[in-house]
Amino acid sequence: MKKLDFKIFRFDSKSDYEFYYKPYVYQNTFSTLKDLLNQVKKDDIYFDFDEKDSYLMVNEFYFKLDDKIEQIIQKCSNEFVIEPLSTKYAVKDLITNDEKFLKIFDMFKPFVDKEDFNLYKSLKVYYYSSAILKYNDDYIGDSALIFAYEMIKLHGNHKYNLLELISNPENGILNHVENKFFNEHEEKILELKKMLIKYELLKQIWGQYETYKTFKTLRLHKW
Amino acid sequence: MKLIKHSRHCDFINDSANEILKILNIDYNDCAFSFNHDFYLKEYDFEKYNNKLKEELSKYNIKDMIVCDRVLFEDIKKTSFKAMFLGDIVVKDLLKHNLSGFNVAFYNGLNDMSYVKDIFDGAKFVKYKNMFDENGYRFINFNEELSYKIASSIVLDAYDSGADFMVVDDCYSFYMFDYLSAKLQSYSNRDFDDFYILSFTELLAICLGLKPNSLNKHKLKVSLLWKFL
Repeated sequence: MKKLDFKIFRFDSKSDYEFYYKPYVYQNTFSTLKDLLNQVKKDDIYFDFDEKDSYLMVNEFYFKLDDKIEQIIQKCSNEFVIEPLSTKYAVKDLITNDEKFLKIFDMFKPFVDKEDFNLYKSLKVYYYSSAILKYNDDYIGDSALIFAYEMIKLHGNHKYNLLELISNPENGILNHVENKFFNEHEEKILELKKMLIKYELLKQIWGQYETYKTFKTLRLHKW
Repeated sequence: MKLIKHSRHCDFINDSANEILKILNIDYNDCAFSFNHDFYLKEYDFEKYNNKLKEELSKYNIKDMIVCDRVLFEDIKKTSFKAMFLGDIVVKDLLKHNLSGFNVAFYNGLNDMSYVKDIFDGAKFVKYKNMFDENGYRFINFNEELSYKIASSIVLDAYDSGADFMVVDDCYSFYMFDYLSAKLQSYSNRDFDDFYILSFTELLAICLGLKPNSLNKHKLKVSLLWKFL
């Protein structure tokens, strides 16, 4: 039986000043990541994680709680590090404060139904895995773009308003960089980009771009 | 075989390419190519961008080409034109130096640079957390500060991870990390004047025993590698 030698990110916002990585060693008798974490929770009364969370990070890859330990070992070996979706927003070990992510839904409220919030919440991993988030934490997230796409399909009469919501250059779609972990939604985001051009919502940006175009050319010539 | 020399690109990518091809014993003709790499068109209407590129390439009567800039090469790959990247045609045995003793940070943010492992097998490949992050060029026109934040984070991560220098294989990354280095240092309030960026072409030229003229034009002065030359 293989030995699992791993560390878990530990932090309690109520008592800790700094985070740390606590080491654990277990014989591999576990089926899924969730089983492993439940055992740790049993043995370590100060450790916590949210069973309702679908994803966590292991060695900087995204894994579902229901993923088999064997899958993790294959990708990461039997020595690995478990972290929350965001160490920056961690409040208790693997549990994050999702207030910022959830607040983004507010801007969609006038154009969608209450029940649509469940779909939005299910897109959490696409928020935290957004490439640019670590540099621009005002970015609405790839989750908001995917959500806008789905809402345009469901609430077509609000198409223009929904597109407007995601077109702000400071925090919107212009900040999207191809998600290297989850690329199944890239086609949807590309369609959104085409819609934004068609509806001339990027006209203002193009307007700015037209001004910068000369500037950009000058910059290159200065090399 | 035509060597594509993009007229918009700086010497850092094209310089020494002619000499490199002579050493590699490759028959070629120079081809000065001019194309507006419209980043936004590429991102938001790739079909139109691709057609524009195809139209431009058709003017030059090119059958096979060698491209030194990786971004341009990857774009050309998506057309029906046949192209090879400079990194794909290197004959390792012809190298005079394999970078042994150097800690090198290769930048993988726009395109994967794993092809260098076969070429510079003496180098110690420095791993740094931000090596796969995009260089920030896409923000330069509407959010300059964000582009500086990203670029400086990448360079500083490579610097703090113990690299002697950084290598990029496209002109946009070179622009962000070297040409804008004064702005990056000012934005980050960190000094990395003793660090420098090389293009893949320059590094290859040095390891083949050449001395690229473009080294004198870098904003971050190239120092350590003088030992080789």
